[in-house]
Formats: sequence, structure tokens, C-alpha cells
Amino acid sequence: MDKDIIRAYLWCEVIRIGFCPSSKREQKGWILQYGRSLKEFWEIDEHPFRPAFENSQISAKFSYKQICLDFDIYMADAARHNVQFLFSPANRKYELMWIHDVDSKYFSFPAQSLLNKYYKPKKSLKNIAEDDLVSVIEGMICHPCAHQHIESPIENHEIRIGGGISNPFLFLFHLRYQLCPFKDKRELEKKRLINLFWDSIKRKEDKITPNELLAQP
Amino acid sequence: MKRNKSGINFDLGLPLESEWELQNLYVSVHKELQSKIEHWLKRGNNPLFIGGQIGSGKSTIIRNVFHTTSIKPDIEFHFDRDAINLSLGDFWRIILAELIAKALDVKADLSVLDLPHELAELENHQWKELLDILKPPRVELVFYTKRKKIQDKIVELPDFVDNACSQLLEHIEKKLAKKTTLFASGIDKYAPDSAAFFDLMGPLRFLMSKKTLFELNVVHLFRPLFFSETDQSLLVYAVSKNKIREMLKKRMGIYSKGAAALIDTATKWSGGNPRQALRMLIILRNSRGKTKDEITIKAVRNLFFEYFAYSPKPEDDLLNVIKQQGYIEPTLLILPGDKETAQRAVYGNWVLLQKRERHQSKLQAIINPIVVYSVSLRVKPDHPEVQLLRRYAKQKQISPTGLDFNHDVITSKLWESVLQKQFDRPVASNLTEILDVLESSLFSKDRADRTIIVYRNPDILKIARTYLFAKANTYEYQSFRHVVIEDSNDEPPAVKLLELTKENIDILSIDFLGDKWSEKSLIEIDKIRDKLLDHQMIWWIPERNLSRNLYYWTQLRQLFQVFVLEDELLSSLSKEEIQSDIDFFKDLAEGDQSSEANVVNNLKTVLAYLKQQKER
Repeated sequence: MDKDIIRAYLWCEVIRIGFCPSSKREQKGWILQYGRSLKEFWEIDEHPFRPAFENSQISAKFSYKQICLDFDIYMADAARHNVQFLFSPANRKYELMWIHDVDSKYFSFPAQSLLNKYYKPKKSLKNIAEDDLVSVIEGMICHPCAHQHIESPIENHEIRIGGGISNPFLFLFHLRYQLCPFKDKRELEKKRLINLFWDSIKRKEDKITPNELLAQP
Repeated sequence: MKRNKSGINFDLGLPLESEWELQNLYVSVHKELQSKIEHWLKRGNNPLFIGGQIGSGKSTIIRNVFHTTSIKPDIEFHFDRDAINLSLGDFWRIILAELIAKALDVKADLSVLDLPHELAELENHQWKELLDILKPPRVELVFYTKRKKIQDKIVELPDFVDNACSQLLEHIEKKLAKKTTLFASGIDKYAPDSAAFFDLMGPLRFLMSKKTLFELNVVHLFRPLFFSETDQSLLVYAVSKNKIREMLKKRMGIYSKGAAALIDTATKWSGGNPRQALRMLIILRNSRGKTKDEITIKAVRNLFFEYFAYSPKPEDDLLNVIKQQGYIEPTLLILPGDKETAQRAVYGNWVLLQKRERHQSKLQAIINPIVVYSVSLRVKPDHPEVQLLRRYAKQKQISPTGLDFNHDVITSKLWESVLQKQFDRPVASNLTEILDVLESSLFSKDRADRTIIVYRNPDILKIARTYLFAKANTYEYQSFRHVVIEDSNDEPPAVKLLELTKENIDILSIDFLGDKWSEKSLIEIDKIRDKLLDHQMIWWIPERNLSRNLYYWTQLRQLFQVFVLEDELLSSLSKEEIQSDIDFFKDLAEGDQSSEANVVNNLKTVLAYLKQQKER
């Protein structure tokens, strides 16, 4: 079977089981769990997270002042959301840098519906090899194909913000990874994610809980 | 505590303890001091006292020496980890528990000791069970109740426990076939004039007869208990700015580059105190403002309130002098009743000790940068003549505010002669000078609200008290009453105390007569604590009774400062000064019936006693 087809299905499966909390309640729980995980993951002194949930939409602010960056997410639903990036040096007022905006009413390449037409997910997932999962995790989280670099005050801290990520939970998750300045930790995290998704897919699990997904490497 | 491998490691200023912390967060400071501790660990026989101010890094330095030499003390006693509001029973229990734990660990032969039975009515082989009561493995009511019973026994028989601890240690040393090294930490948490420190003195005396490393506050080194041992004491001074900066960088880990400006500011405001530097950095990072100055001011204000809001403030005059001179005289730290509030200034970190010049007694010091703007620092303190004038005005019921005179016109000599006529000083000697200082700290407007004076010798007390009472109104008038109370069923002491508080008296002096007051009477006095809050009192209690009283005064003991009369006099007067006073009084005629001769005779009795104590 074509490796690309296998990886395409695997890509969708990783998103489905890891980054698609369904109800509003689950989504809020995911965001809370995410915020709590950052302090230890980035090894900083305080929780950088200030959740502000409203009835109709989820909004949350994350302040990573150690690298002078805040990012705030506003999410009407999984298909309509934006993430604002703010330059936020310690003790000073922030300045808006750019907004990552996702609006599904505009057309984009219909990868999901095309894959559905092939309808070979079971067969594809049966044939996955570890290197398939490594490629998917790398391209999705660790080194997105299309990305922007931003400067960090920390030496050798390579940040690649994925340009084409439309899933808000995946987007936040990849920020957690990209904004982490510790090379060894990033490596460990990559290995952890590969093991986690490998086991879950092999066991045909329906989803990975936020607890597992957002654990520390 | 959980630490970040490469990121930020902030805490409240806890000492570094684990191997990882010492390897990754420790910055080498005070090398000479460390080598002295190392030498002592390897070759020392007597106790060693390490004194430093709060947050100066004493514990970390000591831990680092243990780490680098791989020599750890055989037994550690932590007097600050158990609970709050500890008393004599707790302190002995901590020592007993650690000794038993060690004895069990090394399988020392304890068959000749009956402690399990004597303390807890257990079988004599049940040492583990006794240890569980003394140091419960988990919180359970049953342990608490049994522990309380043991502590009751300890308080009644401290000498027995002292002896038992000595025997336990002997058995441990016999088994180990060497002299043990002990480590007593957390003593620095007890203010030297607190009731808890008084209770701690017995257990500390036990440890002082062994090879023990003591972790103390600087001011403890100037207390009578440790003062005679100055050759065995080491001081931890402020850390240099470069070292502070290095410490903060390590705490910031990989994020230090982005915080360079904040680290510099925190270093500047640290005064060389590592804990203060770390706290300042944390607060700075959380402060917001339009300008750098605004942020710094906010942070300094916050830190001031955090550290000093409940810290008794020393006299502005003292701080002024330190600011101008750049040092503090150690003699100020031993004045009876902390007359010049120097102990308060050093213990509370209002003043930060920088270093001691070689071959000089002076301690270089600065005003803590955090408090410097809260102190009304004047260019010049008042002339002594103006101070005297103001005191005299008060004595005459005139407001002292605004009183001054032109020094160019009226010479000091003239004033001196005028004022000397008002303030009668019949006998001038070293002893009377110290008694005057004591009187002034007990009876002046600046006195502490509640003081317990402990005494060993009733004759010395009587003489000293007579002298103090006679001088009580030298500078300011205040109504004063001395009452003797006894434990009696007819008139319970608590009732009598309550009646006294209803009278309009400025200072109540109460002599607690008799030994072994009933538990009921003592607890009743403790219960009227709130009624005593608004009154200024001096309580006179024999030393042998105080620990037992304090044990039952669970609430009250937190309200009083305690000092031992004989120790205050002994630590303030050298052998030579006592001898010089004795020689001085020899020349005065004996047999004279005048009041002055009576005073002299009394003072001679005190001097003879002090001389005898010094020669011991």
C-alpha cells in the first residue's frame, strides 16, 4: 500500500483520537488540562494560564513572559477560532504581533472528504509502521512542513509555528512543543508521543484522554 | 522539592539540600568559612556555632560542606520542623526521638535502659513503639495523646531526660566505637528573648557538652549561653554582588538571559542576602508599571510589607548611627533588655552585616536597602543635651515636642551641669551602669509590653530589683505597682491578676512566689491571656519554675519576652570590670548607716556573686 495513503489516514487518526474533544465540556477540560501542563513542561515558576470560559465560546490567555510571548485563543467552535500572538516583555504592556485565524466558511483543500471517499482507513491503519507514525508526529507537531520562525530570547531555541493547522487543539499542542526551549525535553516528548499514539492506535482506542496526551515526558 | 532540570527554580528561599540542588543551584561562597567547618568535621572535638542572619545561607553552606566532604553528622536534630509553638517537652522529645532512632539503627545495646517503661509504660524492649510515640509515623490521635503524657513527664523531670539522653548517646558511641558528630539546626528560628528560646536552653546545654554543630542566628552568638564560646563561633556574612547575580542566574536557568535587567535590580536591592535577592527577583517579575523605576518601587514596597510588616522596628537613632558609621558595635548586641534595639535590628534583618574586619571588633553593616526609605534617617541625631532636655520636660509633665536650644549660645558644659543637678547619680560603677541600662529598657516608654525576668539567686534578685525600682521614675513618671502572688485556693492567682488589671497602673510588677504551682492555677492564668493583652507587665519567676509554667502557658508564652537576670549582668560585665568595681567599693567606708552606704553594700553582694559565677 502506498506509504503516503497510509500516512494520510494515520494523520487523520492521530487528530481524531488526540485532538478532537467533542462536547463543550470536554473542550474546556482539555484546555484546562493543557494550561496546567505548561508550567512543568516549560519549567517556569508560575502557571501561565488564565482561562476565561463564556457560554458560547472558549477563550483562554497564556502568558509565557519568560520568552516575552503571550498567546490568547478565542474559539467559537472547532472550525472557527483564532490565536493572537502578543509581544509581552516582562513588566511592560503587550503589543499584538499577529493573529492565526481559522474560518471554515472559506474553501480549503478537502483532505478529509477525499480520504473518506477512498474509505480504506482500517486497511491503512493495519499496515502502519513505526516510521509512518514518526513522520506524522514530526510533520504535525515537531517540524510542521509550512511554518514561521519567530525569535526567542533564548539561544538555540528554534521555534516553528505551523502555518496550516486548522484544528485549534492541535495548534495549541504544537505550541506547547515548539515554545519549549529544552532540546532534550523536546526529544523525549517526541518519543513519548510516538509511543502513546502507537499504543492507542494498535489497541484501537477511540481517544486519548487529555491526561495522557498532556502528561510530562 | 521538585526542581526543574534546566528551567526556573524559584522557592521561598529554602536551603538547598539534595545532591542535585547543590550541584546545579549552589554558588560557592565563603570558602574560608567552609574550610573551617570541614576542618571541624574532621578534627573538631568541641561544639561549633555557625551564626548568620535570616536568609544568609547558613543551612545551605553547612549542607554543602556535608556534601563535598561526604561527612555527614551521625545524628541531626531539627528544632524547626516539628510544629509551631514548641516548649521544653517538645525540645527534649525531639532529641530523645533522634537518639532512639539512631540507637535502633545501629543496633546499640539498650537492655540496661528502662525508658520505654518509665516514659510510656511499655515493655522495656519496646523501643520502636516508644519511637513511634515520640516521632509518629503518621498523624493519629492515639500517638498524640500518648506523646502528650510523655511530655508532661519530661516537663516535671527535665534532669531525668537529660541524663537518659546522655546514656543513650553513650550506648550509641560505644556501638559505633567513636565520638559522634551531632547537628542542631533550626535554633535560629527562635528569637533570643522568646519564651521558646528560654525553654530550648536546657536541651542546648546538653548538646553543647558534645561535638555538636549549631546553626544559629548571629544574635544568638551574643547571648549569654553562647557568648563565652566566641572562639568556637563562625559568622556568615553578606554575599558579594557578583555571587548574588550568579545565584539568581542559576535560579533562572535557561531563561536568565531575558531577565538580566531584573537580576541586576534584584541584586542591587538584596543587600547581599541571598534569600532577599531571590524573593526580590520573584516579586520584580510579577510587578507591572510604566517605567523601570515604577516597577522597582512597587516591588520594594511589596517586599517591605512581606518581610517587615510584623517585624518590630528598631530605634531610628540606632539605624542613623549605623548608616553614618557603616558598622555596628558588637557591644550593642549584649546590652541588657536589648536597650539600643540592636538585637532587634540584626535579628529582624533591618540591618545587614557585611563583614568583620580582621583584628577589629566592629561588624561592618548597612541598613537593609528594602527598609532604608521607611526609616527617618536624619543627617545628625539629636545632641545628647537635647535628648536629656526632652526627657526632663516629660518628667515635668511638659510636652517634649519642639524643644531645642541654640548650641552656639549655650554651651554643652552649662547644660551638663544644670542637668546633672536634676539627675542624681550617687554611685558610678560598671555594675550600676548596666543596672541603669536594664532599668531604662524595663521602665522607659520604649519598654516591651510584657517581660518575664527569670532569676536564680533570690538575694541577687532582691538587691537588683530594689535598685531598679528606685530608679524607675528617673526620666518619666509612670504609675507602678509591685505585687506578690502565690498559688492559693482561697484567692486563685488568675482572679487576683484580673483584679489588678482593673486598676489604672502603667506597669504591673508581679512576683510569682513558691514552687510547683498547680496545673489548674497555671492553666487558668493562660486562659485570661486576652485580658492581659493591654497591660504592661514584668513578671518575676525563679528559673527552676519557668519551664514548667511555660508548658502550661501555651498561649501566654507567645506574648512575653524572657531574660535571665544573672545572665544579662554576667554577659555585660567582664571579669576585669567586676574586679574594678570591687576595688572601687573597697575604698568606701563600711558600717555607714546612710542610704548610699546601704546601696554600696548591696552592690558589693551582687559583685561577689558575679565574680564567683565568672570564675566557675
